[in-house]
Amino acid sequence: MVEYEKVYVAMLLHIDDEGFMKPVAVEWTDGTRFNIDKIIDERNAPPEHTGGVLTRKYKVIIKGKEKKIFLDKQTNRWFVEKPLY
Amino acid sequence: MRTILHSDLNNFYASVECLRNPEIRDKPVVVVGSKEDRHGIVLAKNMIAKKLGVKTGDVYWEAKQKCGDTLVEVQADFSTYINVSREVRKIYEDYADRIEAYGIDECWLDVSSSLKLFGSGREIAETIRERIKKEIGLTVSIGVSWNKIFAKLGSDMKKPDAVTEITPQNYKEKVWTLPVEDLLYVGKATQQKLNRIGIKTIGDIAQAEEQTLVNLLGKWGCYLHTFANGKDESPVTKIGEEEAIKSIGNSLTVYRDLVDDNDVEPVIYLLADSVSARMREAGLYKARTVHVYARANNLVGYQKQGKLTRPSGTMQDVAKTAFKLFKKVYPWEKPVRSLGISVSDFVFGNEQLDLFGNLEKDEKQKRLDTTIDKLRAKYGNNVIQAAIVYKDPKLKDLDIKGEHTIHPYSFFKNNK
Repeated sequence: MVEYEKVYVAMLLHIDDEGFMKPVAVEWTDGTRFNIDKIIDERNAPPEHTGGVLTRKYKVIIKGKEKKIFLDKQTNRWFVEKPLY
Repeated sequence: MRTILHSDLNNFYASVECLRNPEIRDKPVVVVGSKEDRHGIVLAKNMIAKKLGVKTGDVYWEAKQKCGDTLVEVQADFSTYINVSREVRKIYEDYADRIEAYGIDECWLDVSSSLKLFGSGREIAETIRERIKKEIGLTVSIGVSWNKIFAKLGSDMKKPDAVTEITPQNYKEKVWTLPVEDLLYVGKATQQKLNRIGIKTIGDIAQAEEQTLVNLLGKWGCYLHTFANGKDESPVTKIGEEEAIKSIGNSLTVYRDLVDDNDVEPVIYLLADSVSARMREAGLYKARTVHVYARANNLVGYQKQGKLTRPSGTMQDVAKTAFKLFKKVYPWEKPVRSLGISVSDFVFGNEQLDLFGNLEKDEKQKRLDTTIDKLRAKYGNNVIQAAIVYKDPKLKDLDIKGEHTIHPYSFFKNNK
């Protein structure tokens, strides 16, 4: 079974004039920036492999691949679940 | 006939902690108050700990004895529990506008007027159960029935993650076979009284002569007879988030047993101080009723409530009344292990002015309270305290304001 670790990441967000927030890019721990090409889905949901309370799950396309990013709504921190091989 | 749901979050505190940290999921988990200073009473446990015999109210070392070294102990994080409870409530709000919280983890929903939109009571219950699991990651047990009492009994029948329906067709078989103590408001004393005259099950209550029950239990006999027959008509009260605060309270398990009134007084001030500050935080300035709860070191509880001479929210007034009540109710057969104070019956809007009261003094007190709040916001809760608290140097280091208690509504209060 693959194990996962929770990696907190920096995010670039766009907040429109009505206050709606949209994630624009993920900044990986080494500073590399990955643009989010498309948000396929967003909903309240717990992380799939790691821990988290009151999180929101974003399904996005980055460089043609589907990825999941989570927002911890209590702390406003974003994280991804990274598989440990 | 109404359709009422009673939804109960399974092992709420412990489940939230397992969600936060899935590695502990397969071990016995207990949620405790702060472990230092002997607050370590088990507030909640997961299924595994429950199977090993851990009970709410156990002291930490008792739980440890039952579970051994695998036991995981987590400190309660009430602000998260409240946030989760609010998110769950948002889901309920999609299906009912009449929602009545009963504590932090239980709610009644009257879905009678949503049936055309969302399907039968059972279907709505299943949808809610699914959504809470998917969106929050927690499981609930839901009881569906035509009255609040049976709905609540239903939610207790199958756990976790289940829906139980109590219908006019099956209630005799499902509810009437339960022991009397399962019925809301049947405590130990009532149970003994009923058992003594051969009333063992809820069905026995239902089939007893109402007059017999009234002779035995007074007006409660009448209520229980109504409950047991499914004839309870108390409404699910429509309550908004702000009104949801029916009482504000704090309790504390002291690091050592308190042996006399002199010992208790500073603790009461400490609690009153926190209650008063939390009232102001919630935008409530005056309450009419103070409620005191004391638990002896053999875990027997005593409680009493009384009115303030006039509505107030200051530490002094709350503490004075609370101390008076405590002295009235506590028999001093055993030392005190924990104490709690709560205030309720808040005054909204204009109040009757006290003919002999001193407005100027009131204003002064208000300014003082605001200043204290500001100081605390800047430097922490313990930066300024009542002098009496310094009688016991260890008390002054306690920051109890964080330790929220949320009191369920009284079932009957809503029947006014």
